[in-house]
Amino acid sequence: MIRTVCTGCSLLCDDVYVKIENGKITNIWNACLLGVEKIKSSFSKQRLFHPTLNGRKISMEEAIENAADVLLNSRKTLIYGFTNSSNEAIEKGVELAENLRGFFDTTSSLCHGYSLNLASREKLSNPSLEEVLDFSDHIIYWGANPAESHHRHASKFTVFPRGKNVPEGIESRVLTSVDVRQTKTMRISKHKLVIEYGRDVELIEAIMSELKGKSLSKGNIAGVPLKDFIGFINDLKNSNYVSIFYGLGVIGTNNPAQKLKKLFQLVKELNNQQIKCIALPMSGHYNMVGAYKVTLMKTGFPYAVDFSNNSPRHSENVNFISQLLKGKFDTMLVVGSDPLSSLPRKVAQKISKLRLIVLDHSPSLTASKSNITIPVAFTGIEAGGAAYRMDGKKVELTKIVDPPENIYSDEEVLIKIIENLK
Amino acid sequence: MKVTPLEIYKLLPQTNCKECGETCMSFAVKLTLGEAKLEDCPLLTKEEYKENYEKLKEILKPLTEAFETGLRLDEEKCTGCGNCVIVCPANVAAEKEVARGTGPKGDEVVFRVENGVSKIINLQRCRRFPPDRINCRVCEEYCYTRAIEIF
Repeated sequence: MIRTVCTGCSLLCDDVYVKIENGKITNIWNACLLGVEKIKSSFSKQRLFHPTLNGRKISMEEAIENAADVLLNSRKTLIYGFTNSSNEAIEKGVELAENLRGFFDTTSSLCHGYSLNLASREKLSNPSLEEVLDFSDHIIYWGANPAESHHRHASKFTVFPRGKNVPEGIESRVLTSVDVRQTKTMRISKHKLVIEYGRDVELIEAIMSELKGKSLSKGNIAGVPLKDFIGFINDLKNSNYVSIFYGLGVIGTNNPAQKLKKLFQLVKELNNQQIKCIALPMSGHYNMVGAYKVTLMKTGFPYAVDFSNNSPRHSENVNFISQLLKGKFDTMLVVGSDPLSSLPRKVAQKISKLRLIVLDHSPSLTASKSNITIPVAFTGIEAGGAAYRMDGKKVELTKIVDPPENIYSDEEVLIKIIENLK
Repeated sequence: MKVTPLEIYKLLPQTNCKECGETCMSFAVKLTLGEAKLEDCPLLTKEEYKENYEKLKEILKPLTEAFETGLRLDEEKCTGCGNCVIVCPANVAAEKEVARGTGPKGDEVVFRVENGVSKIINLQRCRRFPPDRINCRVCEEYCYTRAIEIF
């Protein structure tokens, strides 16, 4: 069996074993269902095999030449995606945008890129998951449900492993879930705080007030019965190291900035009270953190970088969506993303009117509507490269099989496109 | 049938005399795990606790027969999260790295996730079986999807 790193989600599990016999996957150990599906889809007959131009099969060389041609003749290009790409591919994406004087944005600008940016500005510490494993005795999932999004989060890092200061694993830790509904993660949580939709800030304020010694004697707090709230507060006060993992439930709903800022205030307050506290976002796509970090390293900005002028520019209230809706682009290069399926109708309609080039390994609505589709290899299975785990640890991905004939990684395709621009 | 420590505790003398080496509550926990015997409590065998003793014997009876019980894993419900793999003490005993959250690489464990679902590959190593015969139910307790059932 070959040991590999799973790219099913941003946990990048490195203890996965794959058995390949006669070019077929016959067994996969330790990967969850999400990871298995990802690995298996690379062996699927449903994947993309042929480059197309307006639905007609063309050769890879023609596809790359055509793509370069479209990009060279565009008024302004949006280059977008990259949370499912290696760090090296992201670098090439930035380079291409720079060459074209285009606009570079990644899926992280709609996801936890915002959280990472704010956390860095607020100077929050960024511990490794191994540190949480060894020392954290109170895990809080806030607006996150790893039982259905990051299946192995609790078993591999945060809840079940026996660490230095938590020798009994789950029996040495307290697990709390905060969400707007009963989740599968709550089934195993000691404290199940079901809040009413949008009332996160109220709950955080009540916690802070308790920490400062001012007790609230209301019947319930943000929908949480007082009895449940007090039970949680007692455990929180007795914790040594609290780890808050927040999900899209916090940033995907109304006023994410306000909620995040409050949550970070709570982190600071606990630290002030000698209770170590950290907060990490539950990034989804396997290299969302890479899309954020690499863009920051290459341009000085986390996402939404405009190369129209000689130097890269970024503005707080500008991202690819605001520019799209203003009709700033005539061409869009999408790498490893399906914006036509995942974005709101108004945005999707705008995208569908652009000249579209898609690099992807699997069929998608966006790939099916694009002018030029270029199939690529599965990074982490058919191509190597590096990625950043959800806590920012750099992980080398592994190549375990060759891609199908004449199929290259997205990094290689981007290099070829850049070469063809000259 | 699941027996809770609290249920046991209510029937214990609750004097916390520690003659058995424990408080009554932790003695109750040990009883539910099969790690202690009712006779370890010097008070229970006395006449005044006879009724409680008999009741406790009845409640704990299924536990002493734990080796006859089984473990069922519904693969349709399982998502391969590995909670059972890591929480299982027999898995940890078989492979040290499992204690640290790493998936097993050998064949000695009770649970191993294969093709995205947990499989019981060595049921006989489960602590419910002899020689341990401990009423351990952690895999069932911490399963996200209630795919595991101990009967």
